Amino acid sequence: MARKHRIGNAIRRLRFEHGEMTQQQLADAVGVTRQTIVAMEQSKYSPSLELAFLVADVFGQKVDEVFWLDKEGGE
Amino acid sequence: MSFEDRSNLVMILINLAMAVYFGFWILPEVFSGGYAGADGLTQWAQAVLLVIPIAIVATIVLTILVTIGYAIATQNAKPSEVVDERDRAIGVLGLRINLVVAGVGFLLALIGLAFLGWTAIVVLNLTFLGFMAGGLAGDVTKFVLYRQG
Repeated sequence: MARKHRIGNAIRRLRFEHGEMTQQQLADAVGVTRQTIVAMEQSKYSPSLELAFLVADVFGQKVDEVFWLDKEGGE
Repeated sequence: MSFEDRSNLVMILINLAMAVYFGFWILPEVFSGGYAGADGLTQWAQAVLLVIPIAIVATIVLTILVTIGYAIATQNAKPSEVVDERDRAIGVLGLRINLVVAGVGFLLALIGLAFLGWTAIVVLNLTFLGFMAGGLAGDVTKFVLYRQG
């Protein structure tokens, strides 16, 4: 799925900072599969606005502190 | 492997089994003139209709077996059955491929019927093949997309 920009994210770092939360724990918290968390972390899948807000809420962050438009391709 | 990914794998296997049945039992009968009689279309329809209940039962049995196998392989007694937005996005792309391939098959069948003098039995077979190939192409697309992220 070719696209101009990717959605970068800090999910991996935030999981680490939140007691080494596992991908499965985050997936359960926001109601998606672990595979979706993996794809989001690797910037292979851009979440919906709703899912982005849910993930940010789990970490107690604002959405733009968790996700951003990644023109360079990395955090 | 997510629930939808596992289900998709089952559908690929079912589609392949249907293709084998169609390729080894139905098509040879068509080419040998087995459905050329007056009630040929009825016989063809009965042979194809037979596939539907068998495919439904096989899908249920295979889904149970794959779930058990996955649970044993991952040592997870209760594999996740969550279906999320990524599953739905991949599903839409798979369905799009499915419809395009099936549509091409139907279009070819119509052209054959309109301009090439193909018989009804050939057109029906091509239409059915188009739907089958579409289903398989859509499921394979989903299989690839699940692995690409």
